[in-house]
Amino acid sequence: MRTYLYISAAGHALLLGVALFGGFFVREELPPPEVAEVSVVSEEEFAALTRPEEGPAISDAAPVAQPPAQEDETPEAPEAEAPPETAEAPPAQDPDQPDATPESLPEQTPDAEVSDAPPEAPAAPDDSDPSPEPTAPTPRPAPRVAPEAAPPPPPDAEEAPVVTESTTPDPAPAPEQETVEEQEPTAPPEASTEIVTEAERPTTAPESSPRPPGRPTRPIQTAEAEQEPTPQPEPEPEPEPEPEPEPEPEPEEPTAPQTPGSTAEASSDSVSGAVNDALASLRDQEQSGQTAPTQGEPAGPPLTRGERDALRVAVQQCWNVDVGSEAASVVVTVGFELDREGRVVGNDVRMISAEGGGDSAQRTAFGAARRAVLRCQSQGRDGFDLPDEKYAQWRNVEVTFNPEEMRLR
Amino acid sequence: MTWLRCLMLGALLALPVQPAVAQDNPGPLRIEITEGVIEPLPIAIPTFIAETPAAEEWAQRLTQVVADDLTGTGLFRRIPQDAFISPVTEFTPQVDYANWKAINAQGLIMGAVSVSDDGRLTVKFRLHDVFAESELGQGLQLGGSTNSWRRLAHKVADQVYSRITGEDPYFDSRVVFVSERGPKNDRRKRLAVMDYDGANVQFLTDSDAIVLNPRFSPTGDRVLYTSYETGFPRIYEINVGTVSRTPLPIPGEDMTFAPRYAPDGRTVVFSLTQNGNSDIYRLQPGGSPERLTSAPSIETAPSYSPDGNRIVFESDRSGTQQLYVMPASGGEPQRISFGPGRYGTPVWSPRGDLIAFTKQNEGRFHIGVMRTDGSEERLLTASFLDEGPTWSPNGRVIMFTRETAGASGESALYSVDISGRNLKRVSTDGAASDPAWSPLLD
Repeated sequence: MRTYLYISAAGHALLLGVALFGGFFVREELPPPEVAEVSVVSEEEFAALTRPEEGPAISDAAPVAQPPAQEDETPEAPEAEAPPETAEAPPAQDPDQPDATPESLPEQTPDAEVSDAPPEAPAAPDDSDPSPEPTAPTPRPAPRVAPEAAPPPPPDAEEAPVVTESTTPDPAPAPEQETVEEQEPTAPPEASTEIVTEAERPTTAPESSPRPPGRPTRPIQTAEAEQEPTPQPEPEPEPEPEPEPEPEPEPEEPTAPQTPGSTAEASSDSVSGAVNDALASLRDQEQSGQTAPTQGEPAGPPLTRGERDALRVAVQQCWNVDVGSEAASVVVTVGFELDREGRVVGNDVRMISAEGGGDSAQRTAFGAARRAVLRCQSQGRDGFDLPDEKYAQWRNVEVTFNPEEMRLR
Repeated sequence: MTWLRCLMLGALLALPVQPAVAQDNPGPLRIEITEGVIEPLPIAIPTFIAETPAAEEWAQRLTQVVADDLTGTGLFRRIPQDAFISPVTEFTPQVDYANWKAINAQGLIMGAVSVSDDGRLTVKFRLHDVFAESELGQGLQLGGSTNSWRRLAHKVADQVYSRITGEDPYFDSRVVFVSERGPKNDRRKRLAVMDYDGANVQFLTDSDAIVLNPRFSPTGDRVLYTSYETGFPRIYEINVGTVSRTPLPIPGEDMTFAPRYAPDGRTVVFSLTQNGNSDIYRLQPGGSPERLTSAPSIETAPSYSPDGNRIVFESDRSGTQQLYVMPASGGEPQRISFGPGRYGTPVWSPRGDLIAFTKQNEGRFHIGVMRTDGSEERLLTASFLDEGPTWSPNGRVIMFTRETAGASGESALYSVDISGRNLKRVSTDGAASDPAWSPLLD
């Protein structure tokens, strides 16, 4: 019998041991705690929890009421409520606040419920705190101005032509007048014809467009500075110290998330998918044959759309197209090499191909393309603004200049 | 699972290390640009250097005309000289391009002028492509009498224009037109010739009779025109140099008008009205007029294609005035204009690719261009009255007559780029109409 007892005891002990140390209970505990927490907390703090919930329901009014209420408390509470109702639109931004101040809220939320506030509101803004209101009122006036300022609309309609003339001339006509002085007296009556006006529009368009590209590239600039390590003896000494120790680890992290990120974000969850991607990219790189390891620089991830656009815009704002010439029918492709500063090496821009037009037109088209590249590399800063860690991606550039759309304009 | 997760994550992080370091040369970055800017090219034109004391004034004048020619195209903008970083004091092939890049000069014209003791003017110039840091074409030297200083300047500007734009030049050319004086009810019309920019006006006829539609010969030495000196329109030819004129040898007393030379410079096409029906005729040297059209409608304003194989003209055979193209020897015409309104006075471009015309639609007049098959019609101008386009020798600019409304309305000459830009008045002393551009002078 005892042997059976021992066996049974040992078996149970083993079972218990496995159960305890094998992780069964541990695993089970993981889910339950979440449930337990919810249920346990409920009673005491339930009130507090539920009221914040009410807060969001009335959220528009509640959050705004907080700041004034804390300062002035009861007497001015109603007054302070006035702003929220009018300023219902902005308060939506403050959903975070209810969590932070659950205690003070409950008392004030009922105040907010008082719908009688609106009539009192008009008086409130004047008396109430100057500091908080100025910020809130400023957005409000805009919507209100329209209804209140009923008189203004009629003048707008009647005097519309005058207004438009005064606004538009500021940016655009100034340049036009310079080029076409005598056209103006006759142009106004001709405004109906498409072509004269069409032809003049382009002058204003390019000026506004070039600016944006600055943004995408700037953040990368900082990255460049850090990672400009070995190849450059010339550049500033400041950036160099940092990069040298870290060059290798830094690029790793960006490459891992970015390469899969572009294809499928979901892959980040499944580790195996990411590993496969990494392996695949490694295989691709091996197949592509790393021909020029001379500099041993990181190719970096491919240029983002923004970075490509920045380069495109930088060049196009210097590409002056003579739409009336035969050269405007030539599609020309030029190639050049950039150094790390984004400057054309040796100012050498070569023609790769040209389609359409005669020899003379092709030469002219190439000349205009070359001028665009060489001129714009020195606009603003020295060299095109490109991310340094991706140097290998933009070291060699081929730009195709296609004036077809310009010609049709 | 967690350790496995860690392991794989570690492997994932470790993998790219090597390739990231070793990878290079992913191929050229390819970009396509379809949007550029349309703006005048900034060029620097330092006042030409006077190499002899007497050349000081000529240098100033020549520089000004060169600059006016180039900026007048609307394709160039002259950079003010006070913006120059270093003054140009001598005529050398060496140029410090950085100084010119800094002021964004894309072209630099350096010139020198000298006057010999016998009054002979010599102009030298070099054109530099600043951003390519090289000379564009070779330096050139031109000489002539001081009387022809404007032509020297035009030739310099022609060279610059041609080298930068890659197009044929047109500054050294003349325009024949009808000069108008006096009130509208007693307008005195005379045939006159001027430089393309309005300078050097020279009258060819007196004001005894009404004159119309002058046309330069392809060689630029003769002009065909229509005169009413006999009371009804007849075609005459006048030699610009000698100002001697002869009526076109057309038998009969029929009305003849709207003449134009063929590219050979000897054959002439014109309209002839017989029994109230106007048709197009051709007169070859030594021959008699051949009738090219035979419709009961009005056919007029013929113009040859540059190769001399086809003729474009206007006709109202469809009920409204439209443009037609037919073989130069006559034959079935093909209608090319189909838009609303009426089309007239077609002129074939010297390039051969476009036809300029006058269009009248909804009470307004336009100068426009279309392909020779009638496609891609574009209207370049619009006003109370625009008419009679004529092409610059390089087919780039169109000059025409613009007349203002009212009793005090006057006609004037205007020019416009075929892109529709750079519309401007051509300066003439008094009213002017019916311009016809000469070919480029020798």
